Parts: sequence; C-alpha cells; structure tokens
Amino acid sequence: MGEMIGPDGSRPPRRNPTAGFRVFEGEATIVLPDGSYIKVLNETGSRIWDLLDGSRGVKEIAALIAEEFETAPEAAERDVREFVEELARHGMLEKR
Amino acid sequence: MNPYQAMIARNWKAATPYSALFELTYICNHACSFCYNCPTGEKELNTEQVFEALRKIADFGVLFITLSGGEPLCRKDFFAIAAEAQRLHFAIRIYTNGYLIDEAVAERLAKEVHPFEMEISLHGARPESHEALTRVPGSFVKLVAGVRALRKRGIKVLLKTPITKLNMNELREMRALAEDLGAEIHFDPVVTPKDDGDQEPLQMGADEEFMKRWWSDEFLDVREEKVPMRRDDKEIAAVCGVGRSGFAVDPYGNIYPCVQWRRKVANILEIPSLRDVWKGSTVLAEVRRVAEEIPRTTLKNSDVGEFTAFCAGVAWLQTGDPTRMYHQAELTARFRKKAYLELKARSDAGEVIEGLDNVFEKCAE
Repeated sequence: MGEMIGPDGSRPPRRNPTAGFRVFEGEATIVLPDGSYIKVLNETGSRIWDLLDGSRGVKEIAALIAEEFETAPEAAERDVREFVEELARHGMLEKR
Repeated sequence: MNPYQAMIARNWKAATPYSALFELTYICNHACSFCYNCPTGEKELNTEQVFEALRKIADFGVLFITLSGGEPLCRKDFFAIAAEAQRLHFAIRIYTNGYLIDEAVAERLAKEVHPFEMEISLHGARPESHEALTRVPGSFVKLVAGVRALRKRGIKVLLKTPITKLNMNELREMRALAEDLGAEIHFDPVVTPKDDGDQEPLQMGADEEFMKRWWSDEFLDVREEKVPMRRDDKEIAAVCGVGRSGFAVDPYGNIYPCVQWRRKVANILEIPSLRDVWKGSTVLAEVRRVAEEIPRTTLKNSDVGEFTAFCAGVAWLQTGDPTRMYHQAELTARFRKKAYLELKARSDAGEVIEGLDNVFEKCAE
C-alpha cells in the first residue's frame, strides 16, 4: 500500500495532512478527502491522533498513552500499534 | 446511532456548530435568472480578512466548511484561501458553477485543496436548457468537461439541480448524464426567493401539475426520496438545526444563522471570537426558539404538518413570519402526503414497500 509503518516504529507516523479534523469534547472527527470517509475517535484514539505529528514513533506514543491513561506499557504499545495500522489502512496517515 | 451521528446529536444539543457556509464573493461569471444573492455594493473581505474569518471559524471548532459564492473560483486569491482552509484542517466542500474548472484547475484542486466534495449547479441535460438559466453560452460544455476533470482525479462531485420550468422535462436525462460522469445528482423541487425577499425567482419553479407528477410513481426512478418521509413532531426537538449546527458568512463578513435566514448575528471581523457571540446572541436565541416552536405549533396545526419540509428562513422571506406556513411548503406537503397514503394503501394490501415507516431523525442537521 506504500503507507505502512515499519514494524519497529522507526518511521514516525504522521496524520494525513489532507484530512480535515476537529476535536470536540475530547473526540476527534476525521474526514478524508478521497472517499469522504468519516471516522470519530474516542478519547484515547483522539489523543493518539493528536500525537501523530510525525515527531514520535509508535513506542514513544505508546509510552505517553500508558502514562496518561494509566495502562500497562506492553498493552499500550500493542493497542497503539494496532490503532496506527488501522489508521494507515484507512488512509488516515501520510503516505511515506 | 453510529459514533458520527452521536457526535452530530451532541453538537446539536450543545448548540455547537460543526459546519459553516462561507460566501467568498458575490462576483459570478453566470447570470442565473433565479439567483438568490443580493450584493449590496459594500467592499468584500480581502484575503487577510478571509484568513482571519477562517481562523475564527476553525477556533470555534467548526469542521465542515463550504466555500461558496457568487462563484468562489472567480476570486483571484481562491487557491490561497483554500490553502489556508486546508492548513486549518477544515473538511472542505466547494460550491461552484464549474465554469472555470479545466484540467489545470482540477489538478490544483486535487493536489492543493483536497475537497471532500464539489457541488456543482446543473440546470439542464443539454446546452439549450442549462444555458437558458445561466445565460452564458458554452457554460454547459465547460461544466461537463470540468466534472470529468474532477472525477478523473477522484474528487467526489454532487450535481445540484433546482427543478424549474425549463428543465422539468429532462430530469431523467440529467440523472443519466450524472451517471455517465460518475457524479451524484440531487434534485431540489423548491426554488427559493431572493435574499432580499423578492419573490420573482418563484416564477421559475416547476408548476403544480408537474409537482403532483414528481411525487407520484412516475418519477420513482429519478427521486432520491422514494417514499415521502414523515416527521414525528412529538419526538422532534426543532424543525431544523438553525442557530445550532451551522451558520453562514457573507462576502462582507456578516454572520447569519443560516444561508436562508439572513438575520445578522454579528460581523466576524468585529468580534474577538465566535464563541463570544454564539451563546449570547439574541438573534440566535430567537431563531432557536422559533425552530423549536414550529413543530409544536405551525406543523402540529396543519393536516400535512408531518409531511412538510418547512424552512423558517423561506417562511420569513415569503410571509414576513418565520413560523407561518407558506404556500410552497404546504402544496409540496400535500403531494407528499398523497403519495405516502397511496403507498401505504398498497402496503396494507400486501405489497412490500421499503422505507414506509421511516421518520426524520429527532434532530436535523
């Protein structure tokens, strides 16, 4: 697909810059230009989305999520990785 | 209710808008006989002022922005404005007549603006009918080429067609044209008055005899609304989302509750933030109150109320009273009710009719 993130998270994932989005009451709503795909993220997803600015790898994001949401680091990393891959599948991350 | 609908409902309840329509200019390269715009001759916002307005709209949390006009592409700074909207992470829709969209413009739209939808006005299935309304020779061919250029780049196109006396006999051909172009098409059986209340555009609307046919089985293959939807006025909180889910800004920066209901709320350049005026505006409080009152009074007291697509802005323009039933709405509702009852009778006789029990959502966008 061309936009997949490396398994070690070494290529920092970044939000698709063409996606429209807003955060309202802690929930991010994202609209993709190609296909008009609309997705609403929960609080954790919205925070991950916020952190996907291209400056952090998956591990770093997961560490922040584990700390902020008081979850086990291993579980946070697994969840963040799955979530980032899901976003990539839907074209919500920049193709890099 | 999916998460997106839940978000809409939450925004609606909190009266926090998620969409805005921004008329960037009243300049237009068409001369449509029924255009509702009423330029005042004031100076339109310059590039920096548009940027300031966009920033205030974004800061307020609005996600969807429609860049409209006049003809928005007539602005020389259109792409600078669209780029700023993109930078502010809006989901961008552009409402245009398509005349200026050639391959190069379509390419820039695809590469620089990334609109999630282009809405383009189509007035006929052939040059004679389309151009009878636009009054610009060659506009039909340019529109068709523009839509093809956009579709070639994967940009979604919605053709918008007010049904008029000039095109009412070629709706089927227009739908076929849309399909050929890979575009969607939406027919609007209601022509609205001008923004200053001038009723002259209504003369262009399709006649009563046609409207009766439109809501009959004859146009089942053309209409999007196969079964006329009813409104459960016991459940519905307000007739529409006016003053809650969105607002409009004209080329001078004036903010209105809705593109149809132009009661000035404020000028966007004269306020520190939209948040400040949104909660405290007496105009907005009034339009919200009226929108809530209409289902409980106007529609409840009408025998066709549950079938009425009522617009308080149009009522205000046509009667001077936003709560008063207007002829256009009542007439359409009668045809819709008649069509519904005929389908209901067929359903009662054993025929399977899908969507017969559908009602409008409790809150409207």
